[in-house]
Amino acid sequence: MTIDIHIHPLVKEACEMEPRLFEWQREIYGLTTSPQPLDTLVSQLEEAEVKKAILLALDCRSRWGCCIPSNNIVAKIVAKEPDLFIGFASVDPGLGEKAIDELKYAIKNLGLQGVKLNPALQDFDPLSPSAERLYAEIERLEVPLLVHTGLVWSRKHRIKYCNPLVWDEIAYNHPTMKIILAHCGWPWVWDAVAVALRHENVYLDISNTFTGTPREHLRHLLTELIPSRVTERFLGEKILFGSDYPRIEVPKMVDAAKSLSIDADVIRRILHFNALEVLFK
Amino acid sequence: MQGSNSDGGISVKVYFKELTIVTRRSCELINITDEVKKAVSESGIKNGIVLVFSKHTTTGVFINEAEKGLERDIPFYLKKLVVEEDNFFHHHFFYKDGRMAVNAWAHIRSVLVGLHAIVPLKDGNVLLGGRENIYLAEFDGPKERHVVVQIMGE
Repeated sequence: MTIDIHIHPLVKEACEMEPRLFEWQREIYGLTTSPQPLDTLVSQLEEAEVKKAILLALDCRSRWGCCIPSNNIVAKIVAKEPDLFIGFASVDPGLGEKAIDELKYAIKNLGLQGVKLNPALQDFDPLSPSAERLYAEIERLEVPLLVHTGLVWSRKHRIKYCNPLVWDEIAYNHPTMKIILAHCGWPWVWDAVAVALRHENVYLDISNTFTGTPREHLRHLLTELIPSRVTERFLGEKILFGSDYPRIEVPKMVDAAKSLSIDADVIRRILHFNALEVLFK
Repeated sequence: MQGSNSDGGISVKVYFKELTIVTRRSCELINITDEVKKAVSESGIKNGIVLVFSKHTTTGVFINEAEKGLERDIPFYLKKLVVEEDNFFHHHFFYKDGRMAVNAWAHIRSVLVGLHAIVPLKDGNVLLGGRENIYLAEFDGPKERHVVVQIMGE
């Protein structure tokens, strides 16, 4: 069984709910491929034997005037396959107190179970006071935070806020908030690893495929850049599987994770058990 | 649509239909013969040719026997012929797409199979042999695919 903690539900059905979503996907999110029907995402998850998939909202209203997609849309798509999907909310730190209220509403009323932030696309400093107020509320609500770290390919956004090292300070100040550093912070992988090793509440996701095919990238990431022995001995309980659909197909990422030449129990933890710990304990 | 030559002696009709097919697997063969025959019937054209064309470079269109064993053998041998683990130049970040290209093997399988099939149409019948069926081959699914059926004749 596999849990995919990193899926952007940019599917046809979402675009039907918000007619400008595909335009925002192209212009702001930087992905120009046509949205696929939700059915094809479900088929991908079935083929990859993924039993739970986390669907992520992304609120970029203060910088770009849009959500890609909104919390409401995520909640509606989760409702179509409630046994398969779990929704994560997104709120915009730039919206101040309104963001706090919207976060409470998304968790308590829409049934979303975590938070997604992206300092590049949302254009905020993770160490800013407005972001700090948001973390305090996330910690009070006892939901995990998945945050983008590392490279953003789109030239429209800046990556100065995406170095994973800043999350050392935040993890220190919020010891009960579970923080997942997306993409292992690539290319600042060792910074992300250092933060995860220092803090019990910090985890890493291996989503996206920055250096080639999924097999090439995950082999590079978890057996070469990070030596296999470090992955196995130090990070076995820290790494979570994520695909980053629709930037990559889910079955290709699952296949790549399963093909890694590392301990089989560690692969099982990456694919399943570590996410269970973060999401449900 | 209807046309004629400069003498006005030949009348040619052209009928166009786009099939939408949602595939379910990363690699699969889908028998679309019935959909093509339905388009022919809708066209009202009795004699001419039928073009079946896929709009996707990681798919294929071909004609072969509809037999369960072959439906497994053909993808299996295409996978053996074009392996996925290799150093493909195609596998890099595509700024125009906003994502990594990771499917050179699917494109190459598509080239080997081809993207279209042409079948004669006579007296309202698609002239397929007794064992011939028209397939859409999915090489990088699951995806929503579009196949054009164009019938030209009279």
